[in-house]
Amino acid sequence: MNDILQRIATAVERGKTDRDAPYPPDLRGEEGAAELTARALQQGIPPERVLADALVQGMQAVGDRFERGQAFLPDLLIAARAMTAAMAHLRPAFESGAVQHRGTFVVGTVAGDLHDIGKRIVAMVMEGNGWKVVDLGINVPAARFLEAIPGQDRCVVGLSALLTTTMPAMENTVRTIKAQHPEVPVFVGGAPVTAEFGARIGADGYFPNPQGLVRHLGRRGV
Amino acid sequence: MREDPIGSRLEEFRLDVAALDLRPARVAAAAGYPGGHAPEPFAHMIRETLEAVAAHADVRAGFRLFPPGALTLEDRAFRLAGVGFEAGAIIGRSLRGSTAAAVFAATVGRAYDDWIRAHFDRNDLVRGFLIDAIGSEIAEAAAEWLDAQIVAGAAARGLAATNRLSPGYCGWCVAEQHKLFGFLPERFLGITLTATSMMIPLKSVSGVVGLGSAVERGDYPCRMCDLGHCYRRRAEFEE
Ligand code: B12
Repeated sequence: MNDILQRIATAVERGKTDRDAPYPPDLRGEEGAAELTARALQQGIPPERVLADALVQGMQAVGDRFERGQAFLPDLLIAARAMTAAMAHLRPAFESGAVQHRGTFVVGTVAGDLHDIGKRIVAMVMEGNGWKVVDLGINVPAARFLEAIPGQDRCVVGLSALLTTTMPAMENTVRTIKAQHPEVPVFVGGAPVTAEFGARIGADGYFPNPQGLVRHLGRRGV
Repeated sequence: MREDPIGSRLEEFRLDVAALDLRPARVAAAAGYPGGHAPEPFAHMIRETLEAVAAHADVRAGFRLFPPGALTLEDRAFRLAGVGFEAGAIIGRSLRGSTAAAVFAATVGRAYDDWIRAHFDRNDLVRGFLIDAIGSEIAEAAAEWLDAQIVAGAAARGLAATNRLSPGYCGWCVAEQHKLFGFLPERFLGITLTATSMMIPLKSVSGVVGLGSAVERGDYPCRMCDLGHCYRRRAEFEE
């Protein structure tokens, strides 16, 4: 593999966002994912190669370590952040259509629930894995999802709930979305949610963490 | 300290976070690192963040103590000062022997929630995540501290205490929090409850401790809990 692409992948995997990032210590002062990506593009490497052969590789490497229990949420987050910084340089390519997001991830915490952090983490990891993210925030009524879905390319929905008292709202949201958009996959998560509950309310899957969803969507080849 | 006609007493405390002595390893375990061993740069970030929490955490805790006779038990339910609770079999068993109780709450305060959000808003995810995990541990540690006060106070009166039991755990519906907060003054410690039984600030806990001359403090609380996939359960059982 091209040396600079390899370096970008490593920078993403290790969460080296840019030259100023003090972490990891052994890369201090060196170029990070952002500068390397800019340079790769300047060198004329096609944006789709930078995305597929460098950035996505880096996220996949840390994702694999997460699944093996060798990396943890902070590792995923620091990598996702580096990835996002690098993606900023790909924006023109996204706008021209030279590269594409894997799809749009519309995510929110269901009505009556104000938990934010878990949902934001899922959003960031999805973004880091090449998804355009539309974060509707917390306490999101089902109707807001219906407004957000139309017009989104290859739309996938994620719902979060952290209390048993808001799980009925999750059920209502899944059913409302499915009634209007049966083709849109809806995934659920959050501490009290289970795979059985997800199946019972008509969701397309439950994952205990964002990496599970990333992997599942990768397999589905969206 | 205030006393009322049924002989219950209300106590409130403001705690210094430093006194809770939160160790980096505890935070690392809460952030998901087995055995509490976080690698660099996270270990460093945890230490750094712990040094900054005091400016954002306004840790408050308090309880209302009901005298012997205020609590009566049924199999899966209990009645406290005339209010019935459907707490389920596990809680019912845990309260066995109790005749008195303390209804408690603890919180890390609203500014702390804002501090977490600010980090996510400026895309400082890792630190935001660690601050979130630390906030959870502070809330837990405050509840542990309060629990110790309740136990000591009860012991001075010749009473023993159960574990601390919280709505939302062990089959006790989280919605019953509304009844618990009914025993506490409006906006107790600055906490409000949403219709869906969420406490605001988010880093808050509530619950009850049963007291009596013949109660037993159960063993490890995780053993009672039914959340099989909880990451904390795994972490604690590995130790
Ligand atoms: C830490 C913790 C606390 C902390 C902080 C809580 C907070 N809101 O910030 C403290 C100690 C304060 C606390 C308090 C309470 N807690 Co609590 N708490 C937990 C614990 C151990 C971890 C939650 C957490 O912060 N995780 C870290 C964050 C980042 O993860 P997350 O939000 O879950 O999101 C991740 C995943 O769920 C997933 N995910 C989330 N959304 C989505 C969506 C999709 C699509 C996908 C794919 C994935 C996904 O990915 C995220 C990243 O990995 C859980 C049990 C557990 N193991 O999860 C109980 C838990 C959430 N708490 C519970 C309860 C009951 C309470 C209390 C009501 C207890 C009480 N009476 O005091 C209070 C309520 C607080 C309030 N504000 O109302 C219950 C909730 C279930 C229920 N019965 O309603 C749980 C599940 C424990 C249990 N054994 O049942 N709690």
